[in-house]
This record gives sequence, structure tokens and C-alpha cells, in this order.
Amino acid sequence: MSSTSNLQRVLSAGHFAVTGEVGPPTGADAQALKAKADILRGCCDAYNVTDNQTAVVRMSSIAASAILLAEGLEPVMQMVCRDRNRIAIQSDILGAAALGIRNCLCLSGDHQSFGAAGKLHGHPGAKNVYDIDSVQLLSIIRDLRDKSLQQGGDSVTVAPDMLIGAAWTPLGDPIDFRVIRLAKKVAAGAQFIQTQSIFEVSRFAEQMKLVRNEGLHEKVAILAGIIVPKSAGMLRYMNKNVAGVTVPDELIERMDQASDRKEEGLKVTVELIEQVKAIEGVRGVHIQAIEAEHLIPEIVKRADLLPRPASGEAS
Amino acid sequence: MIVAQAKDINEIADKLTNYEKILVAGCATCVAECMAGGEKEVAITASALRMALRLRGCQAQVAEVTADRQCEWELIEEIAPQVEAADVVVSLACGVGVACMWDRFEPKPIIPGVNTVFLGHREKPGLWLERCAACGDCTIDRTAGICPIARCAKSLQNGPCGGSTDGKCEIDPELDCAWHLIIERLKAMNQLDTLRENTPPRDWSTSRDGGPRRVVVEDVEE
Amino acid sequence: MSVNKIAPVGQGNGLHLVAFCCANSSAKAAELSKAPFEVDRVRVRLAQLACSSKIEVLHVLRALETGADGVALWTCPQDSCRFGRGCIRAAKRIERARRILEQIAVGGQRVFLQSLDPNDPDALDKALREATGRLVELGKSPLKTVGVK
Repeated sequence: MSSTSNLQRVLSAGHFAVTGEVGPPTGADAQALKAKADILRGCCDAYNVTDNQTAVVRMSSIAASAILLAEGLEPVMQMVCRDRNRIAIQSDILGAAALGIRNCLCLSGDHQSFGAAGKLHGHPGAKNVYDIDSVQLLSIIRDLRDKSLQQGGDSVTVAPDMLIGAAWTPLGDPIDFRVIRLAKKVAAGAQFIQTQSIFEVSRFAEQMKLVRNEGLHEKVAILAGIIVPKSAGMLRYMNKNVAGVTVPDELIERMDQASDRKEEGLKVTVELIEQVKAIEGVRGVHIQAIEAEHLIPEIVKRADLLPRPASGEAS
Repeated sequence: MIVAQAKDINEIADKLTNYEKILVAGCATCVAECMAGGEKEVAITASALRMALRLRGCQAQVAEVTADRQCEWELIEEIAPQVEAADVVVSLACGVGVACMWDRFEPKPIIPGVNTVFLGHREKPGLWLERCAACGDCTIDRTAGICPIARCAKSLQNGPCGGSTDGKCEIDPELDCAWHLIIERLKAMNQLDTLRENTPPRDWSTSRDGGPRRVVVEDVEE
Repeated sequence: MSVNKIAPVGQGNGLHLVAFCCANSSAKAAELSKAPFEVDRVRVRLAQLACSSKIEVLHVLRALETGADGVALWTCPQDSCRFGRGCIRAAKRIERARRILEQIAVGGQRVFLQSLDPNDPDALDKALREATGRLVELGKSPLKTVGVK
């Protein structure tokens, strides 16, 4: 168990956790991160730092996490299995822990053929690694931390202090397997879960019922993923192209009709947060405002989730 | 079987402009089955090369031959006279055949005329699919005969990622999600719960990652 | 055009068309396949196929390689193909031949594919004239005009 993760403290104290997302810049631009940090400081318990999301090269999640940390924000460093084998991953985990990074979200990673959904070139010709998958990554970090053992069996001198989490696509296909998939991640050591973005709250609630039937909600802190809608077009795109995400027609219609899209997007977001909060077993939200991080403070405020428990106070 | 695919004729022709006697050599086994390098494809390739070379102003002779296999010393020997008579060989065999031809006829240049793509089978006329990654440690029974190493885009070991939609993989709408197939098959067998057990990190030393591999059968080794 | 404008082989204009015709597509094909003839001064050699799907990629390539300036294939319309999918298969083979010819810069447009109207007794004549007309527009195959180094 991690002893010094703020996210861990917030969850242990029974608070409804709030995490946000910070996409690292596509350059060696520490200033861009610091500017985002200034906007976001104090409105979330921890901030996800994506790891070359959609297989587009950005500043490394470790470096970006370290910069956020220096700015006083707690990072959730994402780590994908696409680009590193188990040697590099364990090395990076030790390095990240030594830098003071206390949360890691373990992901398979978007396939390199994505390249930001065709908007950028990306590197579709890259060789992927996938030495291990996200479930195995969880167990590897858990064993480094709890047993001081590397996957190969060698010991580590100082174990990395790291809260480990995973992603979950509750409404993805094949739907019959999704709760089992979650159970596998919990068995591998996941302590928190950030879900794929939820728009169909009632279907998500049904999946959460199955989660509770297996008692998984007591073993892992589930943070529901919330994406801030920017326009009807964005919702249509997600509905069509993002696996495991279905956006109800009424919601698309509502964004379409809105005279002030930004305001409507904020309202929708706050409503979604309130709806998922009411589901038993949901212990927080993970808010993503893609290319619009500045909206997060306002959302958190309107959802009545401020002030966040201060670091140290939550325990 | 080994599945290969024809190369662009120009890519081959560009490498042949300085030769006068060219031999297009087919292989009558795997690559003939997948219609990339058998006798028929030798004739097509040779005809196309003659035209491509003529358009490049080259006066080359392009001969044709097909070996039963280009990966067996005895069968390579059967086409040795034609190979010896040529300045260069365009081999339509898989990469194994091309390599063996080099070993036998060094320093004669042997140019690959097909791309070797995967180990697979013919699903239906005109469609071949990858089925095995030759990882060296087969556990395909655990996933009901559907290999996630060969058939999942990320070679995931513990179930599908979030990118599975309606049974298809998000990287290609034509591509079946291997884990969807595995789950459906195990469900039909009432064995879905067997997937609850986590598969630990794999030992890839048996695969290509462990270095080039060799197989020895002691009792017949000489 | 009618049959009487189909002339025996004469001086010609140097253009050669190799044509394949499904035996079921035109009753005239049998007659015309007996000997080479000329249409609009284009020399034509026509061969009958039991079904257009009998066409091979190699037939098309070899015709062009050995001196044809164009290749034509005439099929039955899809709904009257005696073998059901024969003309579809034929079209796929023609497509592959065209792809190869595009790669090597001979040009896929030198391969003509057309289905004949089963209700029109002159369909083959019309198709012949259309193909030779297009061939005249395209001119000689680049394989004939290239210099050898």
C-alpha cells in the first residue's frame, strides 16, 4: 500500500475523490505544464498525466508528472504497455517513485496505428512492444512495492511507494466480460479504477450492480470517467468512433439545440457527476476536459466538490 | 502454411536493370497455395517484368522455373542448372526459400519477389488469415483455439482492451477482436470463468525475442 | 457498324487488339474467332472463351507483352451469366491485370471490359468498334515505342 499518495488518503478517508487530466505538451515545454498547473491547482486530488495518448509523441509522463509535482499538484502517472518492455517499465517505476510520484495508472495503451485519430501523422510504422499487458503491469508494480521483488525474481533495495490503478470500460464489448475484466485487474492489485467516459448513466448503473454483486466495489475505488462535452459534433464523433462509448441521442440533441454550447457542456457535466455520484460503489470522478482543462475548476465548483481535502488533512 | 503476397513489380524491376539473364523462380508449396509464388504467378511476374524492363530500355531475357520447394536442399538442386545459367534470380518463395537459395548459390544475387507475411490459413477463396505467431510455447487451449498473441493487435493475455466494438478491433473494422471470439466460444462452452485466472507475464525467450531459434531432433541428427 | 465493315487483314494502321469473348455472350464470336480481321484498320484477333471467367491475368499480360496494343474482354451481363458469377470473376481478374499494368506503366486503360447486351444482335460489332476506337485514341503501346539501350 502506498503511504504517501494524496489520492490514497482522500479515498481512505471516505471522501468523494476528484481527479482531472493533464495532457503533456508536444514539445519540451515545461512552461505549458506550469500554466496548466496554475489553472488546476486545488480543484482535484490528483491529476492524470497521459502517456503518449493516441500514440502521439508528447513529453514523457514521468517528466511531466515530476514537473506537476514540483508545482504542488499530485500526478497520476499513466504508463502504457505499448512502448516499454518489463525491464524499462520497472526501471521507470523505480525512477518515478524516487522522484516522488505516488500514483500510477496501468494501461494497455492505444495502438500505434491511431496517430490522434488521423489528425496527426503519429508513428503508425512504429514497432509496438506489448511484452506485458495492463493486468500483468499491475501485478508487477504490486510485487515491486509489496514484496520488493522484480518480475524476474531479483530484489529491489528500496521498494517503490506507489498507488496503482487501472482503466475500465464498463460498457465496452463484449459486455459480458467487462465485470470479469475488472475483477482480474482488482486481483492483480488495482487499488483505484478510472472508467471510460460515461454518458449512459443507467447502463453504467447496471454494470455497477454486477460489480457490487462480486464485492469488487469494496476492494477497489471506482472513479467514474466524465468527459466534458464541447459540442454535438464532438459527441457524435465519440459515439461513432470511441469504442465502449455510446452517447444517447437526447444528449447530442441537447448540445445541438444549445445557444451557449460551453454553458450547456458545463451543465451536462455537472449533471453527469451528480448522477454517477448517486450510484453505490462510485467513489469519485475522473474529469477529462480535452484541450479545455481550464473548465475543470468551474465544473468542480458547480458540482459542489470544493474545497478539496487539503493534503495531509484527509487522513 | 506460410502466407506471402506479391510485391509491386516495379520494386523488383528496379533491382534488375543491370542484368541480362534473369530467372524467376517459383516455389510449388506454401506460396503456390496462397497464390503468390507458384507456377502461375511465376508466369505473370515474368511477363510483367519483361514489359517493365523493356520500358526501362533493358534487353533482358527472363526465364521461368518452379521448384517443388526452395527450402529443401534436394529440391533446390533440381533447379540448379537454371539458376546457374542466370545472372540473377527473382525468387517467389517465402523468406525461408530465398535464404536457402542464397546459401546454396552464393554469390548469385537472389532477389525476393514476394513479401512473406504470416503463418495462417485460407479462410475462403481469396482470403488468408494469420493464425499463429510461432511464439514457441503454445497455450492455445487456454483460449479455446484462438491465439491472442497472433490475433489480438496488442497480443493481450488477459482479455480485451477497451477497443472492442461489435466483435471488431478498433484498429481495423475488418479485423475480428480475438478476445471477443475467445469469450464467445468459452461462453458457448460454459467455461467463461476459466478466464478469471490471471495469466502471468509470458516468457518470451521461446519466441524470436530469445534469439534465432533451432529445433534439434536428437535421434535423427547427424 | 455491321459485319460487312469487318475487313480481312490488310495494310492496317499498326494497332493490334487481342479480344476475348464469352461464347455465351455473342453468337457471332465463333465466326469471328476463325481468323484475324480488321476493324477501322485495327487488326483484331478474337478468341472465344467457354465463360469469361476463363480469362487469366496471364492472357492479358502475354497479349500486351507479345505485341498487342490493347486487350478486350466481352462478357455476359451479370444477370444472364450462365455460370452465375463468371462475369464477376472475370472482372476481378481484369482488375488485377490492370493493377499490374499500372505498376509497370503500360497502363490499365489498355484493357477494355464490357458486357454485351443480350437483346442486341449487333452488340459484339458495336463493342468491337468502340474498343478499336478507343485504341486508336490511345495509340501504340508504350512497349512498342520505347528504345532499347
